[in-house]
Amino acid sequence: MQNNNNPSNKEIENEDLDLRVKIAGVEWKNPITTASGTFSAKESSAFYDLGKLGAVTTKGVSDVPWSGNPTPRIAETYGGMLNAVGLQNPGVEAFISEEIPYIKKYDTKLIANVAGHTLEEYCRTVEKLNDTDVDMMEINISCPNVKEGGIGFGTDAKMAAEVTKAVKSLTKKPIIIKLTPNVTSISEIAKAVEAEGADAVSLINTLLGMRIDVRRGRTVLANKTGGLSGPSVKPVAVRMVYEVRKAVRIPIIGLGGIMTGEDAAEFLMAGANAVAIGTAALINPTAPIDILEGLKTYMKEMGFQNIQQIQNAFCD
Amino acid sequence: MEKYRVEARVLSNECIAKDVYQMTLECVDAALSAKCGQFVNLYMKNESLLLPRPISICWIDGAKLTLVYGMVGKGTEELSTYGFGDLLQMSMPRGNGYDLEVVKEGQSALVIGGGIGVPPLLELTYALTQKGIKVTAVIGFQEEPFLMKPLIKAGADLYVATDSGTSGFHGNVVDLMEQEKLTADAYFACGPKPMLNALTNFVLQQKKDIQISMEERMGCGYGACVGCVCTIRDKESGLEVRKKVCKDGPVFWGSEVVWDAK
Repeated sequence: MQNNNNPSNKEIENEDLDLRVKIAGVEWKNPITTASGTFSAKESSAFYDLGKLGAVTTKGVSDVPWSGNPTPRIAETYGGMLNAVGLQNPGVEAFISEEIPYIKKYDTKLIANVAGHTLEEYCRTVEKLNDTDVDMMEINISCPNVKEGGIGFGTDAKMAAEVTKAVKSLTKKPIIIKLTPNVTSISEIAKAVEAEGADAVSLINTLLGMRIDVRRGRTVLANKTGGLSGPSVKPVAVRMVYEVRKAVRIPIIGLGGIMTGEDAAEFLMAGANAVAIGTAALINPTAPIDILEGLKTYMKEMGFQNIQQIQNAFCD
Repeated sequence: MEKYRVEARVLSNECIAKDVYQMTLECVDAALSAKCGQFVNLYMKNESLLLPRPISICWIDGAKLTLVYGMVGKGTEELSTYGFGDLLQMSMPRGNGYDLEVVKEGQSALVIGGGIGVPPLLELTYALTQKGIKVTAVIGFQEEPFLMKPLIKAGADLYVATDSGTSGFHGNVVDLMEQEKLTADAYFACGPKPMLNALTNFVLQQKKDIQISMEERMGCGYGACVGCVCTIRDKESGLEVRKKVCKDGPVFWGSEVVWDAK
């Protein structure tokens, strides 16, 4: 397939590349964002210019501060990791006064990830974010590490629809619903949230997993179970993006184990309109921009000049 | 922009006690910026081992860093196979080290370590003695002690305890300190949590405070994942907050740590 997308056969330069994508009416300069939970504005911006990314997605924010789960919260697995952080965050007030102005210094789009235990909690946070400079909101109905809620909303199509409807009625900002892979049919959930007006979906959140230390006879994580992420989940994520693409028309932000520019291209071919970088950034803080550079290199080698050409090159 | 990853070249890597290795790395930028009490993240060549291994800095010598690590799993097993000339990927030194400004020339310090928490005491002892501070080191092990000679060479008066009683005092470091009536102007420690907890209680009873390096399972090592937290009680507000061991620590004041946090 090499270079047959570039009929003129002229060498493609960086300035020939158009990486812009439009997600629910918001234009990103490129299709790369960060995955919620793996990005911290202050910490990450020490290592790269956030303005190089299409968007940044913050850690989950809730209406009041959450202290998260006990430790150990992290366990390594073969080609992946389990986490049970439990959405520790300082609450929406601190988020509005500190995180938003910090990120807004950079030329990038800001996606606030919203967490909650109950419908009311999601609604309160969305209402508070409504009058801020947040560009989009991503509703986390899929965290496997928070009891009473989170994933409870994401595994039931009716409840997922209900959350979507409720938050859509409160804000004009584009709403992205983040979906869990821990379901029988992710397409059903995607269709349900699309029907209630979701502007986009992001997938996948982590896969529910567990590790037992057989020398100690106890689970490695204090929370017992945690969310699996990293390159070992990528095939599952690609398959789910592919299924959801066939089920809905709204944009998809694809994520799950993306480590390279070519991994990002794989999600775009599967049907994603943009991609998020998560675990890779925990291993190497500059991963989001390294992957962006990798995607550009891939595009030049393949003769693609824009993102749609990558998507169109998939022979399904 | 801050630099994160650097390359390091292995100069030596030898077993100094059962399942304990001492590795010296040539890594100019990292060594020049390193402070006692910091750690580096080492990346494995086996890519199925995704996460970096945080290892405390034992000794800083010009362009070289010496790390002493326990072989406890697949990652550190891989580390133990490295030899002269091998290149590895490493982070720049991470975390806040010990605060040495709390002691002045002519004063005394007790540095206390347990097991694989002993290595950072070496650079600490060296840094303190350089300042003209009298250092007493109290180190505890399950069975086999290590780094005794380097600690003495760095200028410490040394006390050793073992759980098995095979070397030195039979018991733990707190009992040893009590028996020997060891006191100082400043206290520093690194070791397993139960030891740090007992030690903090002991030092607080003497109306002193202690700088302790907390251990916690880490993810990223730079503060993004919020995996490694410990509960700290803010001295002014009295509020309990979960702080990141990798970024806000690993060194905290013993009096601030909430040991029984849920």
